[in-house]
Amino acid sequence: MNSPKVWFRAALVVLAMGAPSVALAGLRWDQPRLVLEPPVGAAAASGRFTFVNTGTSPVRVVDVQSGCGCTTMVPQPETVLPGESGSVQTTFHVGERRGRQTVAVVVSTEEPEPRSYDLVLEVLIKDFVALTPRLLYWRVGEDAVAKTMQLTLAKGFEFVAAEGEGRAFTVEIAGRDATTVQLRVRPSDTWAKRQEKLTIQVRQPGETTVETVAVLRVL
Amino acid sequence: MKLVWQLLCLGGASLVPAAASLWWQEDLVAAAYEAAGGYHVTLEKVRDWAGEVQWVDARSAPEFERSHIPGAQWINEENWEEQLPALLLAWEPDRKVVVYHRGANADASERVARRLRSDLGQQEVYILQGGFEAWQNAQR
Repeated sequence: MNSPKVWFRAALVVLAMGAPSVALAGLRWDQPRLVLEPPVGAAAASGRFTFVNTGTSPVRVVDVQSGCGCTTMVPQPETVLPGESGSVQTTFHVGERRGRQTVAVVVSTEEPEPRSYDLVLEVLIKDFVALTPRLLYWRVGEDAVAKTMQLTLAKGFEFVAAEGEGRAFTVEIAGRDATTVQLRVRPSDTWAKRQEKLTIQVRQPGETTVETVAVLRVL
Repeated sequence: MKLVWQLLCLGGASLVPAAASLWWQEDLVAAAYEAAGGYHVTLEKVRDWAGEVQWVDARSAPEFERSHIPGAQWINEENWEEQLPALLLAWEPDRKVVVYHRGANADASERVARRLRSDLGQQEVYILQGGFEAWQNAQR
């Protein structure tokens, strides 16, 4: 038995088995799912998808697409040499979004063959003020009984005022604690259809007042 | 026999707080119902509700301006505070609300529907299966 030949053949087999994985090697993402939790009231949230080029060829990031126009995504660097690290700097613009936002992100590369990677951006946006419900209504001819809406405030925010547009409805505070305010609303009568916007003002100490609107209707 | 009886009592007792928790946490129940597809409706089903539907278009402004279902109110997560009062003033309590987006963007419809359930204070807010394309294809 020719030992060097056996070893040479074995080495060839191992190399052949490894070839596909070398060909597939490219960007290895540390976390394909990025979770951001912006502070209450923040206008934007930022983070990074980080990666390493584990292949033997330079990788060029040619495009980053997200499923929402609310993101800005910048790859750094655009061309990643073998063994080098990089990232996709991600900014999510909160706007008026609330709750859990899940955004699909597709990164397209040339390695030099075209390839794409599927990533997920998840953003958890907390309300600084939640008013439930934002519509109170009475039917024409129904008893003009009081109905309640609840305002829930994030820590650090305080209730300032609740003001209607006219005199068709009266609004009073039925109860409050550190984080909630109960607003009791009653129409002056229910003889005819009418509607009014109710503006609720809340404030974070040292910041400007923020308004949220509810609607009151006799219909 | 005594052991079986004790286990049954313990199991029964644990159901009480679970039921109470479900009763109070309506959001969780709604989310689970939604995840199971309970709020998704076909166009055929909506047509059976003839005349009792408030359409809500949750797509972008250019898409809405290009074409939309007649009578639809436009609101999405980017213009919520600006557009919500118009929707609250237009909605009638007898009307079921049906939200649509692009066919492929079911997540956005679900988020809009969830916020509307909270803001309107009513549960009958549905999501059109297949989105706007389903309605458009039915017009051809």
